[in-house]
Amino acid sequence: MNDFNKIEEFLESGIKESLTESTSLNFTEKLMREVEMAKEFAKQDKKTYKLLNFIIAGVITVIITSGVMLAYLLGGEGADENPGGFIAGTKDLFNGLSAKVFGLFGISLSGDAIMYVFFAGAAIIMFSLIDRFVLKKSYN
Amino acid sequence: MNEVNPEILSRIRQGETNLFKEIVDIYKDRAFSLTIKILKNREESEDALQESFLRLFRAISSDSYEAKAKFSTYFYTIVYNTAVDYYRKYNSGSFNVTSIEIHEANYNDGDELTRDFEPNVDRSLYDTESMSTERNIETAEVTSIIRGYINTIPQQYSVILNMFFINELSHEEISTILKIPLGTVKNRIFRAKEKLKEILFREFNKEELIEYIKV
Repeated sequence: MNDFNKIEEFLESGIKESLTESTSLNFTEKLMREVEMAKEFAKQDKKTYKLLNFIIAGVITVIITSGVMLAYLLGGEGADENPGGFIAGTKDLFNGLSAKVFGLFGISLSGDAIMYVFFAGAAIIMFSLIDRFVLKKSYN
Repeated sequence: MNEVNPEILSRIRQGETNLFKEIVDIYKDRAFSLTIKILKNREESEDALQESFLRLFRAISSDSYEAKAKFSTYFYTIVYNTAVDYYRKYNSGSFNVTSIEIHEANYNDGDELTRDFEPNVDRSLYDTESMSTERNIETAEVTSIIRGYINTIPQQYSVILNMFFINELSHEEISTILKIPLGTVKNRIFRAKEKLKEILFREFNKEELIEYIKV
């Protein structure tokens, strides 16, 4: 090794020695306690997240089911008595849509079936939006 | 440097939290050397480092650390960013690793490195003519000059030197973490070393120093 390399090596080891610092003796111990706490909090958050998911899914299902049932019951009775009403109009709209869209492919689906699919889709979209913008933001 | 075994990461992810201690033991002092260069305060630096390790733990546990990135680079990015966050919290300005303030009118390239440093070697303590080389250049003197120099150079240099010599990051990795050009990283490491060489050669006779190093 020539003198130049020796000087370089000497300087580098001097720089390394001067830069090195050490944490206090109980640093790891303190940190590991915090890590255990973080793990516990994460567990709790996961549980709360799952519970909230379950509650929201339940509430949405109840709302959609009640809506569909109400529409079906009222639509069955009211459509004849009140042909120009909102429910009858909605039913007509889905019937018309079904005939036009699925008719093109030679499939025949009732307006009711389309309505259920539509509400189910709306529920899935609503749930994923709540999950993405509310729950995941709060628990991550 | 020992990179963390992916097996350990996977076991931590599966709940073996105690294995995280192995990572802490490998990195804590090297990472602390970096945070203290930024924050200049032991207590704040330990707090920032603790937060960095917690961020790392959460990233490993939640699977957001992707093994595609080199572990040490990923970790030191967290350490640097957390220390900068703490710097902002405790100081009014933001941490600036890019530019160096120059106040002197007759500024020469590299002057900022020795702005706050004055080598203190008391030559009267030994007679350079009669004493042997080993005794002429006292280890303590050389060490104290290097330490004094390193402790007073601006953070724009010390952070880079620390990342290069202690954290063992490559020039490219440092450039990526600090978001500064690769040339700046190389130039600062080179200039810091050259300036130190210049100081030592000014304080000690070059031949003596070479002899001393050989011993």
